[in-house]
Amino acid sequence: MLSKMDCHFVHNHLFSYHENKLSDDEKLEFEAHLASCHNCNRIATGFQFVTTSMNKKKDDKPNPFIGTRTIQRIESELEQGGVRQNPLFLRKLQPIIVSLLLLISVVLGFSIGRQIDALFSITNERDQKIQAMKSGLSIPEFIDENAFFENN
Amino acid sequence: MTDQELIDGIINHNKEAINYLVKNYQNNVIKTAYYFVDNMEDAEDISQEVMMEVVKSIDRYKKNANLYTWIYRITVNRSLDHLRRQKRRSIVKRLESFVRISNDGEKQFPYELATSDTRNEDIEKRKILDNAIGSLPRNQKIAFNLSKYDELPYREIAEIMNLSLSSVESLIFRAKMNLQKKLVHYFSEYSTNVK
Repeated sequence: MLSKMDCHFVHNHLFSYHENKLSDDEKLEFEAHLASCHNCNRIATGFQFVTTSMNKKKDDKPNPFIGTRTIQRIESELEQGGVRQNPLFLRKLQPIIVSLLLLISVVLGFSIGRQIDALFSITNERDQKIQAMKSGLSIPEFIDENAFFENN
Repeated sequence: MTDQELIDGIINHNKEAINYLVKNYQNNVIKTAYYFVDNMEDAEDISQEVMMEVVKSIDRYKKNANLYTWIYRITVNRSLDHLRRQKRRSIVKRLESFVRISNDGEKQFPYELATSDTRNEDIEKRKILDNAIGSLPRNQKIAFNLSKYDELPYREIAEIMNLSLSSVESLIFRAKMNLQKKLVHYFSEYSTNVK
């Protein structure tokens, strides 16, 4: 009588059995088990389908005109310039251009910032001068008109 | 035509070289893509993309690898990209159909279920196999497909995948174990359902 281990062995060696990779003894034991175990027999028969299906798939043929179509497509893309003429050059040029643009924008940002800073310092200077002139003429910052008229 | 002559020809957009490339490489590219995407028309489209990419990026090809290995690598990547796009589209489709069902208030079954009864057993089994392969982890799927369908030696698979020979052996072993587990479950369940 065959043990549970035999079912486990069969389940783990289905590929080896169908690829004829089992030793003679193992093959005999395998087949003896299949003869006595209904479920394993069904599984092994079902598994045979795997081999058949793989072979059938290998026999499937592509469209015989696919080669001509592909050549036409490549030629038309080459004519339209779809294929890069010098991809190595472009691949190296692209990061250089991007880095240069980045550098230019940083320099521009700094110079604009400096100009704005200078503009603010001029405004501050002018304000300070006006303030000095006001204090020299003793002009109050704010005149309360009601109080002014009441007092005078 | 040697690999070097072919590469020089492609760089110079030589018609003869492009014809040679397509005639000698495209069919294998289609087959490899087909084993991944399981649809011949999609595989043909992928093969066109691959051929275009080879012409466009031939300057990126490093001569320490075989030209064929490099083309295989592009094919595998394009096929996996296609599967990713397809997966995204199918999620959107499912969401759309779900929203439509909820809006209409009709008791419609999703497409997969509605048509499953009409399909014959072989198509259903093949779909189960493709789904089982599709559900494998990325590297296991690539190694398994290149080994079982393209019948490439482990050494070449290792070169394409940029892995060691022992890693490829282990990937294929694990892929087979995973597939066995999934398919045993299916055939076992299937046999009890049929009874």
